Amino acid sequence: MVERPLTGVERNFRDDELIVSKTDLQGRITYCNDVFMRVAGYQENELLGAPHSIVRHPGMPRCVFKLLWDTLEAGKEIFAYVLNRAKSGDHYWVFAHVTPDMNASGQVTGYHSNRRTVERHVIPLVQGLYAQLLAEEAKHSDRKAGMAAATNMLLETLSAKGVSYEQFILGL
Amino acid sequence: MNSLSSVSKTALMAGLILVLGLALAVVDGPLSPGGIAGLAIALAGLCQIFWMRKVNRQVAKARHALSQAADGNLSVRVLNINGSGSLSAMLRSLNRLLDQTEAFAKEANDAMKAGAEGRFFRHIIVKGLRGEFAQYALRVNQALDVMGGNDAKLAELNKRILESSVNISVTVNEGAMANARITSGIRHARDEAQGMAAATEELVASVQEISLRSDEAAQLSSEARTMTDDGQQSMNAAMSEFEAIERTVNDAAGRVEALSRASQAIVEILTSIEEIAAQTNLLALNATIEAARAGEAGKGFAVVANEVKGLANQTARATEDIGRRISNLRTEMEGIGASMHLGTEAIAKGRHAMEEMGDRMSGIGQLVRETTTRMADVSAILTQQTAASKEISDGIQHVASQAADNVKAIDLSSGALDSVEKQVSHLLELMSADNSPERTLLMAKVDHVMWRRKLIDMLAGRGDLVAEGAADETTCRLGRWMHGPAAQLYTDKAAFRDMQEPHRVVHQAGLAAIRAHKENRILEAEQLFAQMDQASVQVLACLDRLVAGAA
Repeated sequence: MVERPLTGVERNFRDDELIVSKTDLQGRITYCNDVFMRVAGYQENELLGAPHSIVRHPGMPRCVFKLLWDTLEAGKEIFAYVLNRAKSGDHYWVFAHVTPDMNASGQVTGYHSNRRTVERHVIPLVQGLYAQLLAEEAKHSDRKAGMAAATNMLLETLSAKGVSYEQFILGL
Repeated sequence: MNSLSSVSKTALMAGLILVLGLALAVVDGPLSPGGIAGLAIALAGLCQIFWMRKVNRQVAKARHALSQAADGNLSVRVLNINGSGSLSAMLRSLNRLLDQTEAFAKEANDAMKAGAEGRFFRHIIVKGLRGEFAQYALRVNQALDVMGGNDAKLAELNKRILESSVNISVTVNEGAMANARITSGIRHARDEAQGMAAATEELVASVQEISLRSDEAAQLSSEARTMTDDGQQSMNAAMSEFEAIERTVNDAAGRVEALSRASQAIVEILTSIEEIAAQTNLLALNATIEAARAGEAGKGFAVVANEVKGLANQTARATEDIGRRISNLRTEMEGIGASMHLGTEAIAKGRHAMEEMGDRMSGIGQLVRETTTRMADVSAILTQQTAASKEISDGIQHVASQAADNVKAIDLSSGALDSVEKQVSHLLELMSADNSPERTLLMAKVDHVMWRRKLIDMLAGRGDLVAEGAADETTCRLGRWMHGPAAQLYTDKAAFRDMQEPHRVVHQAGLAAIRAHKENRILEAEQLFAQMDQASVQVLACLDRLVAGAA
């Protein structure tokens, strides 16, 4: 599928709406709700089975996703401010809450994500941080090394503030 | 019929219509009006059957999802909802219901889980939840706030208790250290007082000895005075005797002189007697001659003249003898006079000497009297001094025994502090179970006070320490924390940097003090301890600054 160029147009959804999606353990979409389809501009059949990275925006540092997957693999919930791209090349900000889905015996069967609208004042703060992390990632030719360096930078920034990642995100 | 669902009933109805249509077509003939109507009816029934099958599939999906949801599986959703009919709308609503329900359930679950871990700031995110879900979420968040508040209060209380316990521990240890220092001081004082008591006793003995000797001297001096007085009296008596002798000798000399003068007079008388005898002899001679001329007649006269002549001769001889004797007597008397003169001179000299001696004796007597008075004074003073020394000695002995009592009392107090300290330590261990930086810092305070305390106890002779295996600046609780990841938040703080060097000194000087103490280099141990003590104060101040910064 050929990606359409970014338009710079921001899309929105209502504060009382949730973008909901589920993936299997490999991150392939197994469910997307109507808000997701509407905002991202995809049909259900385009999304089901597709990797969740279908909505990944180049403005997102990779280290944030690494943190996200590391946290989920540890069986924990994670919050993240995420910039997503719609099919049209538009973008939209979400405040994502991702959790592992477990069956009755406690086995992780997939992942569940609820996305909410983002408070306007938070966006520049997050953008500033992500710009630094992206710049750090860009310094390294090796993608993994760049990601590790940016992760370190993120942890050090948090450490300097004396807060955990969760406290930082929920406190914005 | 009761067991059939409404959809099945509808399908059954459609089947009946189809059968009815086909029957009409067969009865009337396919091309008859009735037959056409019958075929139409049959087609309608067929369409309905197809539609009904599609509906049935959708309903089955819904039924499956609902049944799963009813069993508590909130992950289930209806996929591939097509169309915009009311059934699709219903299925979308079903998905939205499940989305809301699952979002609420997951949020509630994660918020509670976070709350159970003390992260009460992790609320249910109400945004995106609707209606009662949002209301219930708000209610849960209120409860979390209350719990968080309670937890914060509890944490605050806990922190205060910990701080108080740390302060108690620090104070108790300070008290114990003060006790140890006092004990050490009193022990020294006691030892010195005991030494002093012995010295004072010796002093008392010496003073008593001196006093005794001084009494003896006073006695002797007094005797000397008596003897001097006696001597003077004897001297005075001798002087009187001398004077009497002088008078007697002078008197005798006067008499000898008078005798000498009397002898001279006798010599003169004798001279005249000699002249008389010589003339008498001459006369007798003349008379003889005359008698001879007178012859016989004269013969009788001649005899008398002879007799006279003999008498004159006898007289001359006697006079001569007397003269000789008188001369001898005068010579003797002159000798006596000279002797007497010499005697008088000797007596005068003797008397003079006696007078001088009398004067000296008098001077000596005066001196002896003064000496005696002074000796008596000295003796009196020494007696007082003996009493005073005795009192001092008693006092010092009292001090020494009291110091010993004090040491015992302080040992008791130290024992009590030890037991309090043990209990506080136990409490602190219980309370410091979680390793938050603040607690680590507070406990580090306790550790360092304890370290100081152990060293002081060692120096005061209340305990023993071994340098080998004792914690150094990297292995103590504070050291482990400082070099561990937990300290990352503090590494750029001035107090953290300021603490490094004194902390190193606290351990190194402390360990050196233990070694010095072991090798009996007490003065060096004390100096190293003072160094450690100073550094320890700095470390505690830095810890306080860090704790204040962490709060």
